[in-house]
Amino acid sequence: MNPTKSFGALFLLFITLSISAPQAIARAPLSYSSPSQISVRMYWLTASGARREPYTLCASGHTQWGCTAFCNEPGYPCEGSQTLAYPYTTNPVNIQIETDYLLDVVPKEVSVEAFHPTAIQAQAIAARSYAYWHINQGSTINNSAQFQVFVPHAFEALPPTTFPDNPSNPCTNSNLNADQHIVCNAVAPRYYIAYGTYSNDDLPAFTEYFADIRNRTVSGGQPYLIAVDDPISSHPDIGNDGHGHGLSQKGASRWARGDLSYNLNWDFGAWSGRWERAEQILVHYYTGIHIRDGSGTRLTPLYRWNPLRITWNTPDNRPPIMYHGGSYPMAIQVQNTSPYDWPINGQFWALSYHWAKAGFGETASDNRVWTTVDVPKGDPPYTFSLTINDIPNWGPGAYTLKFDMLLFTYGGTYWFSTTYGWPTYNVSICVDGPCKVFIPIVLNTTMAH
Amino acid sequence: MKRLLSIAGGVLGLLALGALAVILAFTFGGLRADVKPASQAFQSPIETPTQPPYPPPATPIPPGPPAMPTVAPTPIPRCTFAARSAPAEPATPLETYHFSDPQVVLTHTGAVGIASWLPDSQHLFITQDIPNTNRNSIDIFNVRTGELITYAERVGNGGKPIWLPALRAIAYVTLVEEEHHEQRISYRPELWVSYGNSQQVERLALDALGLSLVAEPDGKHLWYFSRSDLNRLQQLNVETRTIQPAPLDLTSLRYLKPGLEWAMRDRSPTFRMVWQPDGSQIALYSQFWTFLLDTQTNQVCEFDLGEYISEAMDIPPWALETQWSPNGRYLAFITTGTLSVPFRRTELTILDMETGERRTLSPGLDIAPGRHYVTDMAWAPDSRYLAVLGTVRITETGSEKEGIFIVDVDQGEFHQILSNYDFGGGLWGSQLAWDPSGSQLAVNCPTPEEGRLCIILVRPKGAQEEQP
Repeated sequence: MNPTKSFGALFLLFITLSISAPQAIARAPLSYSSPSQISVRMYWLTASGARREPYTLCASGHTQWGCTAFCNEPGYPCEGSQTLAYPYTTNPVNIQIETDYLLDVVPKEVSVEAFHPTAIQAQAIAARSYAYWHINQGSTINNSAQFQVFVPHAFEALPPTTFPDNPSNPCTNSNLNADQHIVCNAVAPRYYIAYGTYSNDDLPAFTEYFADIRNRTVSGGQPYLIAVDDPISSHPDIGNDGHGHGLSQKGASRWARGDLSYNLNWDFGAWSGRWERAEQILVHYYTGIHIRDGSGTRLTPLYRWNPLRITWNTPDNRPPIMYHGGSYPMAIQVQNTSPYDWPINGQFWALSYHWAKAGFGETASDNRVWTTVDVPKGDPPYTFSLTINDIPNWGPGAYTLKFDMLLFTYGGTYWFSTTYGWPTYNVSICVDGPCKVFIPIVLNTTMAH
Repeated sequence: MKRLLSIAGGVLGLLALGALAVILAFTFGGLRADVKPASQAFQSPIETPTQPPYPPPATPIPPGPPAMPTVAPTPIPRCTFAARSAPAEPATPLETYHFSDPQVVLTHTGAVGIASWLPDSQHLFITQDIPNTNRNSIDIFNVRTGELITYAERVGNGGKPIWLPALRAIAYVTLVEEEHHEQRISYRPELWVSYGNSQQVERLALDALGLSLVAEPDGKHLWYFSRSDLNRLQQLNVETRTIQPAPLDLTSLRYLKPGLEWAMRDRSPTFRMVWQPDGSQIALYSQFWTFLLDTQTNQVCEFDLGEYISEAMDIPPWALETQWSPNGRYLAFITTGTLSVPFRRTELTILDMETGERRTLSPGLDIAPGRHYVTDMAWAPDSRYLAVLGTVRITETGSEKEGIFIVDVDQGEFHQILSNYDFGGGLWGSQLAWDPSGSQLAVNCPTPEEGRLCIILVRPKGAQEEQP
């Protein structure tokens, strides 16, 4: 043994340990704990949601907009019938995120009467995550549009004005109006959006959102805020509204409705796809994220996909009536909403489907269309062209075509639905018609946990 | 059979029209006994509806809130205008004016609000928030001498106080605590008058919404809605102090609009009103309706403030703020298509009341894609130009800052002036006023730390500038 070398090795080991020890501490697994409270500085706001100059903090008795939704000021649609003062005794105010903050934030961000409830749920999850992110950053949060517009009593002001019996936990009351129910249901699951690498992959994400954009979102300053195609947002009347990073509020409602209009009260024509779960909307707009519940448990699988556009090659782009023995070419534009790319090196990715009919069970198709290039997460989407030519002969009636992605490796074949728990995309097909009743294009998509 | 039905429908239609005429006559008859002659410019006779009339309601409309009817739309006629454009009155070209750099004439530890100029163009009617309270003082500020006279103190910011020249007094709405239960404090708005200092004050009415408070052009009457009845105007004679409910009942005007039931269903927005300067017309506006009322004939008609693009807006454009031009030819509106605050954008809409020509302008810059705001406006006395505040940027600390834009309403063009300066950022609608002589603009120029009032001198180029 060379003592010089040994000494040198020991010295190197010492230096290495000296450098790496603090890093090791920093890298120690962190378990993120969702906060229950948020501290908010409350200011008088302008009608655009900005802090009013000179900056003026709300105090007991104040009736300015920003301090209360039941304000009494010119130029605002304050509630004409009543004026209620700022309801807190302190400023900044420490309030419960679930039973106070989010209930007043969500109605200020989206119109509860116009947006689909699933989109409002996605909005609530994004708003919660955005708050968590800022709390985790140590930001000095205020009630203005610099963060998220938070105006006390906004929940109570949802028309018709209704004051819950128990203000400390409004959603437990029985006297809520319909819009308040929708907000409560949106907030109730307590999910948040996480992004990171193990072991910090449960940290909240900076979930920016905005009002609307045509065709494609805009990349932001985070790896999960990359620009993605948003083909459902294609109506010519759409005007870009907001920064374009992350979730498009109106886009979310269009996907939840499966309609070219975001507004529940308008129908601009059905889109070829519809997403029924808030998770599907969120993984579309936020690339590679995970949804976690209040205890930090991951709810979304590692392998996921979203159909962006389906082409049926029919005049109205509805699924054709199919006849067994027939052949029906179609195409699906698919977004890889997983946290990982789909490479073609050593792994094989395909779109396929199952046929199902009540009383006849379910059968997997042998038709599989494989990717021919790497499909990166988020963007761009990949279009699978396939021909449906294996219609079972189960008699005339409504069948369900269940589209699914599958992964083939040397270890086996894994369907995204049954292996990982991501929903299939189900389409009702009239086979050997005519069918007796109109069946909606999309059936339930269920997350198999 | 079809023909019989058609005839029966026609008869029913005629009956319905007759009923409507009776309702309108009853509703608006005697609104004002002492109205001035109608302006010749007003060309909005009730048109005979071309669409099949609606049947009359089966039961009388109940008075008072809830105001939203559940019946089919009432056929309020559309306003009509002259077919061809009348030539604009000659005006001095904008480029011949010089706008001085803004001079800070008042600083205050709280926010300053501009209510109006007094007729002498020397005194400015302002409010000043009293720090750490919900109170503000109502002051007359001499922009030349800096003298400040406090007329009253009030609670809350319920609308602009109003100068009553005949009494040399001010009318204003203040909040009075109504209920204080734990952290829930509710208020009642009361109408008061002050004769020159905070000791000489008198309560005029127990229930008056400040947002709706206006004075008739002759200054003898105040008009407002009360909280207890959002559908019936109250008329207060400032000399006798008598209050009379006007026969005008807005219930019949609050009709449900097809395609907007979802937004209107549970809302009863407050109406606001502005008098045409010669007193011949009133513009009545709220979130879903904009009406023009002829004060002599009591005819009412409705007009739109822009095209409804449902995918880009929540609801059709509606007016946050409305001002008549001094000559009564134009109505200027700050409009939005957003259903509730915070607004996504606001625009300037100008309606030529002679021709019906409508322009929608967006003076200012997008502070984010699609986000621009017009926050304040003030007519020049020549009725040709309009000064507006439009957002130009958002500061790093999240304040919105505005620039001053001069709009040529005849040409539909606008130009920013004094672009090196920031203005606004405070309470919308209380930040800008053009004096009656046209020679001074009062504008808010606050910082995050303090309220500031600035004066900009407007002079023909070459004229000697005075100090404010």
